[in-house]
Amino acid sequence: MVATAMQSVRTVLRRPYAHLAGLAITVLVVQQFVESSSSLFLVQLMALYALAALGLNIILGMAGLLSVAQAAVMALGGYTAGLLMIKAQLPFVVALLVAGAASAVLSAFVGLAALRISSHYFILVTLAVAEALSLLLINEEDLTGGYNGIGGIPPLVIGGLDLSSPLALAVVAIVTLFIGWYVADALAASRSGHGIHAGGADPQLAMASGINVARLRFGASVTGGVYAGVAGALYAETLLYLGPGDFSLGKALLILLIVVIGGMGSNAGTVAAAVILVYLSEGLLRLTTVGPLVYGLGIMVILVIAPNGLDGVARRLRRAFGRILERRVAR
Amino acid sequence: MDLLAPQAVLSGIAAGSVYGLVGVGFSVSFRTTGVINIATGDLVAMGAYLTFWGLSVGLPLPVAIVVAALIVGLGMGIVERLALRPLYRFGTVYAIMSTIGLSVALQSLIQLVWGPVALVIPRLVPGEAFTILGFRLSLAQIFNLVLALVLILGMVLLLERTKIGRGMQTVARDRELASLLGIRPSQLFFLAFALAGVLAAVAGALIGPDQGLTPTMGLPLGIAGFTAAVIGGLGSPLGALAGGMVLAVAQNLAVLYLTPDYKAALAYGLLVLVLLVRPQGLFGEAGALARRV
Amino acid sequence: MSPDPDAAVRVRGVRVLFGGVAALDRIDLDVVEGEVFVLVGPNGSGKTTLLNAVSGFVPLAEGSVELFGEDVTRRRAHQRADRGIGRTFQSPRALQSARVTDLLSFGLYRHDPRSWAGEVFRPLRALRLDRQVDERFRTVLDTVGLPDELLHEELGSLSHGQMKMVDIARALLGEPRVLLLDEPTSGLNQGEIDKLHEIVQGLRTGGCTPVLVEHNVQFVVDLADRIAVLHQGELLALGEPRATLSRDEVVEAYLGPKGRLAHRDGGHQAETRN
Ligand SMILES: Nc1ncnc2c1ncn2[C@@H]1O[C@H](COP(=O)(O)OP(=O)(O)O)[C@@H](O)[C@H]1O
Ligand SMILES: [Mg+2]
Repeated sequence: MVATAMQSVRTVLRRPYAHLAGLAITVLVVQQFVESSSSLFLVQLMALYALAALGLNIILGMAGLLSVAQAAVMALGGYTAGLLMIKAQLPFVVALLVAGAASAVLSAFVGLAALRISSHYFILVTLAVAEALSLLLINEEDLTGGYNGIGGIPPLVIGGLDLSSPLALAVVAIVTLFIGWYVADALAASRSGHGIHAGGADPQLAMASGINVARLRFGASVTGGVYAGVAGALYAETLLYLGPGDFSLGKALLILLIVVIGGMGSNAGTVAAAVILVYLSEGLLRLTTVGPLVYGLGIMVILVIAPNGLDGVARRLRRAFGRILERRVAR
Repeated sequence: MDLLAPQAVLSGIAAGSVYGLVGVGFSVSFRTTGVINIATGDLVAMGAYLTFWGLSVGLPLPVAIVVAALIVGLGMGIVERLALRPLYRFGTVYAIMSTIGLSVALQSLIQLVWGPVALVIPRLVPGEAFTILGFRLSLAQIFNLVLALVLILGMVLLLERTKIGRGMQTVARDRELASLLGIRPSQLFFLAFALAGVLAAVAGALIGPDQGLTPTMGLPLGIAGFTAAVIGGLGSPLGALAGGMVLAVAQNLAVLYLTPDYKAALAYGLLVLVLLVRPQGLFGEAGALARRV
Repeated sequence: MSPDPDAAVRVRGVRVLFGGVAALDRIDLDVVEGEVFVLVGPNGSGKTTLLNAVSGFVPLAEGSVELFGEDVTRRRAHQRADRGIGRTFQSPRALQSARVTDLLSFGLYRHDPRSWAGEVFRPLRALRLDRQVDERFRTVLDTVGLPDELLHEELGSLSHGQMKMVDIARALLGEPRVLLLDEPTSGLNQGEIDKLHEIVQGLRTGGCTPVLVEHNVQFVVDLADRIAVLHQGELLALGEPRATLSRDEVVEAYLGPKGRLAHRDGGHQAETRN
């Protein structure tokens, strides 16, 4: 009985209903209750970091490849879109597509490493790529403005529609997030998603099941990178100014921490953690000098006490709840 | 004759020995536990800063360096026990993420305690250059090279000649076999990270006088150490030493002939290149550690 | 050995070296389609390595492996799986937080109808497919004698025996033509061992050729059609189970020369030590 009830709950909570409902509720709540432009800005950031983190969740949570290049890929997306709009006066949608493609290429390069080497070394490649890109952003002043970054990015207009108000920007970010979330959930439920997950969980077992682990790792790296590129392009529209500091290693660690706290492999956990952590890091931690220290120690402590993050906690609660239900029914 | 290039090679060899030191510590802990310690560079920074602290409380320099190395080594061992070991059973990715947290924490700790302004520590031996056979060389360079060599040879002896060292190598290869032989992995894990801490800290005290102490000094040095170790094939200490020298010489030549802007980027480029093209390292034997999936 | 045109697996002159030491030395054997083939041998004799060589998990220094007449020596593990080799592993893998459904989905990979595009663009069809797959999983759990409530349990919460049975279910979902089972009975209770007996019998009627590495001689003698004995990387004996196991050199390999005497005197069956 409990099992069939759970089954129908699962059906209702499934794609696409859950995502449509979630999107509608989120937009409504934001529109009704979030007024100040600074709060709306926070909402934009939450959605965009959640998007980039969903991408990392594919790379790390599913494929088991530890990457600290996600902020660098986001930077590439942001700078590409921004520069195309400033220097070539391209419309946003075109800039977005090119930014997505550029991010795909960079992550494909990083993904090549995953083909060649055992996954342990992947972190070293991503670290080197991230640092090299940040050096490029700083040193190629003619293109990127060096430490000053690039300003004067034209505000968001899509198909003649002015979407540059804080509320419109927030809604665009939220819609994009839910699309990304839906696609990521679909991936997780699909054959490819299970293959990626298998390659991350146990490569030998995956290969024994006929899964081409190397190819799927590569695919996961590219897919996750596109998420970051799209997030970066929208980020350019959110700030209208980009500097190298927006995509420092610290930002990469924020995205990493979001995935860890969300629970590796869990999309819902990732989004929830993004909301919490962006709120904390933009509010609380930014104001104090001990912020990064709390951050660093936080990663270690959370890993040790709750290695499966929010998702693990939720699962534990669900199981406890199920047991209570079962006892009630049995009585 | 143009002596610039040979000069760059010569001073590269001296500087590279310090990278090698970092790389050896890194690869010992990696080999034993499979964990890539992202905080390696921050251990180097801690070594430099704790040497500074030792001096400021009145310790003589050599004592300050030894004290710093012991604190960093012990500290890293304790961190291994508290924050890495509980994670091994989930796979090394979790432990590596924990070392990322450690890296952030150490860097901001340094920032909080000593501030962002660059500090200086003195050299153990004079740094003035003298000219010999047309090359410019300083006692400090020679001393660094010799000390690095001694420490690395010490590591070789420890790994090859002692029961503990052989135990480390066995654990790295086959945990089940190790426990059959009565080797207790837990002690070895602690020791491997403690040794990595000691070597990194000494490297910090040696390199500190050259470049000054800043909270962010760690990451580039850490990556230099990773690169040295990877070039060396991530196994043999002597390979890491040679790898460090290759890296430093390449950096010096790049500064000389290309652009100084990308001196650090050269390490990143080399690291990626070696991992992509020759994952077993320039000096490593094929298939030792890097395996295709 | 006479060449057999119907060989499901043909191993020829296979040599595997670990750091210069031969773990397998010039092994020749054929597994005939439809038979139950069992590999025995003392610990460290190379049984697992032989399975690895057949399934593509260890590089060969010399020799070749054929599957159903096709040379797969140069094929990688996942490609061999695609050609019909399934396998389990000796110790259950440590997938702490994955659930049973996840593991079974890994096994279903080759026949999984749920494409990414389909999941994105046709969510209602995806719902139907999910039900089908769910049904498939329940059936296979039933085949290995596990209750379907386990489907959403985490692997970490299963017993050793359950975990091994789930792994066999995982391998079955790939519909292999040859299934390599590495010490399937180790750590199982008697009920599970009986179930396994049934599964292996069922495999053969279902058109899959089981190849077992097994320590449990009792389990093996009346199940196997043929037994191969490995000793220090060499093929010591091959043939009908009872006769093969009581050959002098086999008993000696297991028990040493003294054991051989004891065996002669007592006349009891060779029992393997683990
Ligand atoms: N990956 C490996 N590296 C080095 N030696 C190995 C490896 N795998 C197996 N061996 C060695 O090969 C021999 C055969 O091992 P194995 O096939 O596992 O034996 P069995 O399964 O019969 O117990 C043993 O001596 C073992 O130590
Ligand atoms: Mg075995």
